[in-house]
Amino acid sequence: MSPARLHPLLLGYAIFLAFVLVAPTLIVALMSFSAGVLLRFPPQGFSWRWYGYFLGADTWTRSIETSAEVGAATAAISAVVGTLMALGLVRGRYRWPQLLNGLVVGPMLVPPVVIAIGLYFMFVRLHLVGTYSGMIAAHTALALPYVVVVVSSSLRNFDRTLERAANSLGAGPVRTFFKVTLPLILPSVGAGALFAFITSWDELIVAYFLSTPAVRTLPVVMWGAAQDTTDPTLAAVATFLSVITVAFLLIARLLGYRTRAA
Amino acid sequence: MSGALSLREVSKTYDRVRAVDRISLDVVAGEFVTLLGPSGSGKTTTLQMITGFVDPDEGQIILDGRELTALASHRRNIGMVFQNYALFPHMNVEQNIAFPLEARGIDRAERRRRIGRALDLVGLGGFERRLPRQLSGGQQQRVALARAIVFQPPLLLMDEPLGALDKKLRDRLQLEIMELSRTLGVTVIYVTHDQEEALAMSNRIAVFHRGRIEQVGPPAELYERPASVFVAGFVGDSNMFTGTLDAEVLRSGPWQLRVDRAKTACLGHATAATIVVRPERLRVEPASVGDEAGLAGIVRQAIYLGATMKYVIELSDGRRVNARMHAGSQSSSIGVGDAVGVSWDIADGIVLPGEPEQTSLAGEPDGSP
Repeated sequence: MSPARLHPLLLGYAIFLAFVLVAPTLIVALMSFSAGVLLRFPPQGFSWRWYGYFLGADTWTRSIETSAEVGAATAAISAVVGTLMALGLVRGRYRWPQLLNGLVVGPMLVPPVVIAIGLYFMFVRLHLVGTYSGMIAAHTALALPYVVVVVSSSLRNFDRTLERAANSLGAGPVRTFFKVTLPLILPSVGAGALFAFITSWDELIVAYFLSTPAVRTLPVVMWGAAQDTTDPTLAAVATFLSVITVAFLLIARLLGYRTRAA
Repeated sequence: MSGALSLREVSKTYDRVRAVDRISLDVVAGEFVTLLGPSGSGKTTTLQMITGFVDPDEGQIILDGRELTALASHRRNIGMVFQNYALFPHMNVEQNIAFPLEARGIDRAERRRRIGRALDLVGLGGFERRLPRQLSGGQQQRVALARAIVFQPPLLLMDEPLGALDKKLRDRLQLEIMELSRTLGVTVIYVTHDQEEALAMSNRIAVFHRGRIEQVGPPAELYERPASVFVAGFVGDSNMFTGTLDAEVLRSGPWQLRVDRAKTACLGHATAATIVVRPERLRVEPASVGDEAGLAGIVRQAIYLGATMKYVIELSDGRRVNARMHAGSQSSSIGVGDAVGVSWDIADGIVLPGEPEQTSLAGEPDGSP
């Protein structure tokens, strides 16, 4: 298929839309390289000083570590649990598949504030507020649907004759899963895990409710900084956050293509 | 020699439809048996019950004296070749063929030896490192075959393995599969809807129709002595005359066709019956020969097929029959538009109870066995 020629008006509209979507991020990125001491646009001069500053400050680096740890744990747990859930949803036989599906993707539809408040009151009783496990559990709940959706779709397209072939060749269910099914859906599981990481990495609201000064993720610290500082450090942190998110999204997309091609 | 398979009164019902209805079949060790039938006739379901992908509702499946129905499919030790090859796309040829050996805990050196032998058998030595998607359809099916025989199963099942290949390759692989099965002495159950393939390859053919086996026998027997109108229509080309049996004749449309009463003794008077005549048994003569020439008709098509000529003749009541003769015999004098008489020896008219169904391939003027 040859690419259709875009109408000039449509092309203009597309460019305008892309600009509106990307501009805020670009402006923040530009401001982060400012040589001046105030967060303003256009930036004055060019320097890396704010990056140096934020990477040298304990508060920032600690929160980056916290975010990375929470994100990695969320990704790992979501990948395993989400894959199992997807297997159950796609392969299982039960009465109301729609209902179960709805329950699984539910967290995607409920406003984050509602989830945050609910989790907060529950976690206070369980003494999970301000703990890594609490943060990871909450983010896993938010991230699971992404893994389930991505892995389910790859399982639905999975040619089950391959599993029958493995059975006929003498492989039991466990061997069949680990040698045939899992390797073939692995790109989707990986993509799901990356989505889960990103979900956790830039999540503010739930993290804000569950954080204490000891356990604070990057977005929570940024929120605080946005309230009471005016230097471009915040812009540098934001740019750092965005670059990581975009990189992970790109990898996830590539993995998605690989699954479809297989 | 092992590989004796026995199906006893096996049934499977899906949503109140009897997909397989009390089927019994005994297969001798080393035999090549084809399950032939149109789609939905129960042949694939039968195959899947042998592999264990589907559990029968009733009946027994016995391989070398061992009841299979309670065994999970991965414990049955049966080789299976799928229509779409079902090669593992993330493994290369060698890894694919090693898979059943690894599952059986066979050591590396022995695996290597057996993989090499299996690849030689299917003529794919040197392809070990290729991925399935780097192979042609025919090569993929050879790998699938190697993978299914490398663990030396006593029984090899093949589900329309050549369905996705073009005609020439199909013919070649048919021969290769036959030779391979003889070399290995393995019992083969082969599923196809292609009657030519069934006739060419099998020791015996089981013709499936509506979940039942209509007839089991060697190819020649099915062709020469079909047990039902369905078998006659499905195996080989045929011309059918349907009517009512009455004393020594079958009343069919405007004609009274003589039948061999000795062969139809079991059929009562005034019952619906069909005379089946194979195209090569029809005599076609110029109408000028006289009244004895048989049913009057006009040649509508004369097709040169090399060794034979094929004629499509429109009889006086409008129906069409196929005739086939050696090219270069007297037939050369017959051309399109000629008035001819069509007849056959009484012994060549197979009389069967009942009528052909609209869905069968009876009388279709194409395909040539």
